[in-house]
Amino acid sequence: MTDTSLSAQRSAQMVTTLVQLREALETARLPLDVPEVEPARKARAEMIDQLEDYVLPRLLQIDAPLLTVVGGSSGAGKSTLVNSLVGERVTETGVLRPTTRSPVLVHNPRDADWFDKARILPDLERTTRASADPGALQLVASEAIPAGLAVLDAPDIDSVEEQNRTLAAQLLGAADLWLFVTSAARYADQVPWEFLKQAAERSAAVAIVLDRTQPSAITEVSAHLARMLTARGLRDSPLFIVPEGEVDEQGLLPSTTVREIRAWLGSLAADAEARTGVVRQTLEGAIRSISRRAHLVADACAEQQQAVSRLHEDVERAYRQAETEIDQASADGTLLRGEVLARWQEFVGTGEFLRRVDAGVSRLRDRITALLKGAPPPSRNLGEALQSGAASLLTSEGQSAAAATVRHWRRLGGGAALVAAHPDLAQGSADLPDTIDRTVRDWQGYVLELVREEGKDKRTGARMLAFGVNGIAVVLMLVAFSQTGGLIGAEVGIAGGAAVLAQRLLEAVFGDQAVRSLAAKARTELIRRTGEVYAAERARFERLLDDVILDPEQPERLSAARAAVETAR
Amino acid sequence: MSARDLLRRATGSQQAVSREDLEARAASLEEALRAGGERLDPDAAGRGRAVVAKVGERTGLAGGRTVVALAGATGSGKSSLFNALVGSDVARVGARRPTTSTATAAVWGTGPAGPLLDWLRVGRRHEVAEPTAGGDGVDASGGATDLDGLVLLDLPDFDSRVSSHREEVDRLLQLVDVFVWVTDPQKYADAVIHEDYLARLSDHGATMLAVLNQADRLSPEGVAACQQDLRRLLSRDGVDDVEVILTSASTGAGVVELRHRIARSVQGHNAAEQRLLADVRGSARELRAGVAESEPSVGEDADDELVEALSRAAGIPIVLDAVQRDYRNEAWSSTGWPFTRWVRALRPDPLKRLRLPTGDDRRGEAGVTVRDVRSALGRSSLPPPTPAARSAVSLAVRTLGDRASEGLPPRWADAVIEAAGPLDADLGDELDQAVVTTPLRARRPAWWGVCNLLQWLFALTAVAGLVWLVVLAVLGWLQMDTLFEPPRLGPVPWPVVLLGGGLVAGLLLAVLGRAVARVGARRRRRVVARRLRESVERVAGGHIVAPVRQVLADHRRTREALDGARG
Repeated sequence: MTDTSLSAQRSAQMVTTLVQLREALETARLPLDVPEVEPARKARAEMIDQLEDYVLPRLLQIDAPLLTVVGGSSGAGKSTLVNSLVGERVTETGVLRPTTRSPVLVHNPRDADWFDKARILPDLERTTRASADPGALQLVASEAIPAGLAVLDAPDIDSVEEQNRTLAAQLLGAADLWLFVTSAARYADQVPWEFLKQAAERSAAVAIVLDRTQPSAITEVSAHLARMLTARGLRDSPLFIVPEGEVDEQGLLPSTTVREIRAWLGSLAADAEARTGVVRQTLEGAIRSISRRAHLVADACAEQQQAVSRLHEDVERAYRQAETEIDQASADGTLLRGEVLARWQEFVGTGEFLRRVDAGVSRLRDRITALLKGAPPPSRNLGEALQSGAASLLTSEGQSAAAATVRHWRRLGGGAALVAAHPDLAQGSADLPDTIDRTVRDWQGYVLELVREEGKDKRTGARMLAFGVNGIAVVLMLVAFSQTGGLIGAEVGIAGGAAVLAQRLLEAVFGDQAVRSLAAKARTELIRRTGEVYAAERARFERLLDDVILDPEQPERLSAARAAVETAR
Repeated sequence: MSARDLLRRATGSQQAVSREDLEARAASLEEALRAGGERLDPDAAGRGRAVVAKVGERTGLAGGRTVVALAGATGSGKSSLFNALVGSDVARVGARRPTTSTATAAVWGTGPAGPLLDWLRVGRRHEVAEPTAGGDGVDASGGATDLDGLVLLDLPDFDSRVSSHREEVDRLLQLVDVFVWVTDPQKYADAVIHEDYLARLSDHGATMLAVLNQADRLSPEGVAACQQDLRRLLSRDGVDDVEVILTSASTGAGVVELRHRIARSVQGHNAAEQRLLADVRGSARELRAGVAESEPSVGEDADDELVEALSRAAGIPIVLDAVQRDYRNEAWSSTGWPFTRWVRALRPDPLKRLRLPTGDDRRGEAGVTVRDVRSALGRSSLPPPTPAARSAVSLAVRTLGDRASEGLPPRWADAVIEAAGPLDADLGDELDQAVVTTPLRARRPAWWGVCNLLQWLFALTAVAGLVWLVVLAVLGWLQMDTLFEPPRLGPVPWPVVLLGGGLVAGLLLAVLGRAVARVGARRRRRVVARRLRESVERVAGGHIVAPVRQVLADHRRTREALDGARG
């Protein structure tokens, strides 16, 4: 009594941990095509199927009839064997391959309740008529099958119909006992042996039927097959031999040829202890195998997360690089001083003539600076075409970042498939140039606003001063020119002096610190606005990665669930 | 009859294939592989190269023999059928699976078969002593089936646990001419034969036979249904017009028909060519999937945007400013006022400052010309392009790359974009060389000489006036001025007229010359700008457009060659 309640408690605990493991597996999606992901995906699907189809239902109803699945190669005679065991024609046989497409489950009428949808194989529709629908499970009640036993005729494992192969694998996963049927022509095929290898790994209870064997070849073939079974860890599996023989008009084999199998199944059905033994063996094997393979999925999950974070890093790096480039480009004062000066002139509103003089002054200043620094005169291109210059800089860097990201992604596991699926990623988004033009215009507006804010109270004074300084400079230059024909350095000196004056003036109006902070603000703002545009660009990549929602806790959850299963065992 | 059948008939896959046609197509394929290079899918290109090599090897083998392979699953009766065809028990037959582990060859006829079998790497050989016509080889219709020239191969299985068998089969199936797929009622619908073999070799429908062996194990209706079902599966694999022959190696039924059918292939002496042609065409078709239908047309000349961007990156606006200033300086040194001309010499020469050639080959004092300096240093002192100029070039290049790669498959598109290339050191150097080698000066304008002459004339006049005045002043000091009363022009004495006129005329001419030099400088600027633009266009054409066009030309050649090979 204590023993039973203890085992009941244990099995309840086992169910809980397995349900948790199933949940963990269910949520452990493996969407990225990293190398080696395929086996993990397959293992995950198989494990979920097996838990739902077999392990959990079986644990909950340990007393359910023993489900014997008759599986094996196409044309080995599975359906004929099932019909002969039942003694009547319950499933279709024929010469065309594959014959069986929809599985048929034969059970004792008293066991009917055990096989409704809620209990086992929940995704197969129950039907009582023969059909060719692989999504249906035909239930046949027959007195010829003893209570406590059910025989399921599964589709083949190796025909051209892929659905058959998948369904057969699923059904074998749900079996308490495999009745694996092969034939003299089939017994060395590769596909069945892969299934038998799985069975051996899972310690599933297996019985082998060597069907359709010419009487003359029985000795040689059965001896060879027995050796192969031994070599592959299936030494204890019973081996039955059914010689190739005439079938009667119903398509049944003579009852003598299947007597041995029927007797063996009958004894299993009659002996509750032996039956439970078989069930326990397969069930525990299945749990052990699931628990062992769960780490494969956990590893794959962790691998996926690493891949995603590597992909994220690449996007991050490429766009950060672009921003750094722009930061460095704008650190060259020409860009900002030109812009601030231009806005200043706009704001102060000195006339066109004076503006030209002012431009000449600043040009001279640059040249003098260059002379003092010993550097070649700076190119004025950027200042001249600031709008197009800054815009093309931002656009080009944005495009490079996209191209660089794609280039990196192509080399990374999981990235290549994403890139291939979205070829437009290699370039910036279609409206990037427009967006950037707009951004630069807005930024220029911002700089104007900035100057206006700073110089609100000083406008008139500034205008007067500007006019004054520039006016004096012009008069002086005119005088010098008329005196010398522009031949001597006087004009340079005056221009230089005026430049110094202009600088002083600007500083006087805004204050030295203010000018510096104006330029710094303009730059920061440009970088901030660029950052916004690039963030939108980046989002195109990150959206793809966000579709791959991966819970960082997933691998640990899987491992924990697995550890719990191990403890409960 | 479906459109596909019509096409198949029309393209003549069933008709005889001439050796010349095969070799021409193989050459086309080879040409495509060469032109396409790394821009083709590496796996497909590898297979293509293998096909080309195979065509060369196979056609180089003498004898006009036909290699027929019996391929099938374990237990389908390949070896039994082989023995039945050979007429003696050459291949081992047994119930134990898999039975055959290496290929066995049976050779009919007296022609040399050694090199062919060596090439096939089949060691187990059997020579069939064919009885004279009218003996064993008489088929039901009474005609003699002459198998002379046949090499029949019994292959190992491809579905057993022994993976080395499968490797051997895969290797030999690449080399044989005619495939005879042997299957049986139990295994005819196996996934292995259909998915791994028939569907993949569906190009070779013309040199395929299907055999449903062990037909005696079924009732006649069952056999017919099986045959029908097998035909359905074959057409699902993409091989439509394949005969399904029913045989039974144990009763001998159908073997004669199979033999007759094989004999037809052998007597055609064309199966090898047909198989190889199908390989060439299959490979060409596979490669063609990685090549677009057409390529965007890109003119030889770079577009304005690119040239403009490159010009800016090459610092051409700076060069032009220098040219303009240089012209003005030069003009001044000829037309300026002689008394103050030297002041200009204090300013740096704008072109030399950028270390640009002035076209001035006169030997300097140390005997070193500017050209020598350049060839020693090689590079101008133009400032490096600003980030904005750089990015303008990248954008223009990218635009060109995008335009030139539109509609191309990814590998080709990548190649185009790579060919367009970034603004790297090479391009920078080419641009610099383009600027350096462009003549920035031109012939000295004639009016400089005239002005110069006039200036000196005016200067001399003024000096003469001055000297006269000085002489007069000295004479005045000596109280002798009354002796040499200078002539007068109206109220003004001539020396004053000479001095004042010379000075004023000189200054006026200088001012005038300066104004004219401004105009001339602008004109010189335009001329040089045109020259520089041409130089930059040449660089853009050679460094950016030409590689892109080369890739596109390769693409076209690949496409045309593949179309030629595909037929």
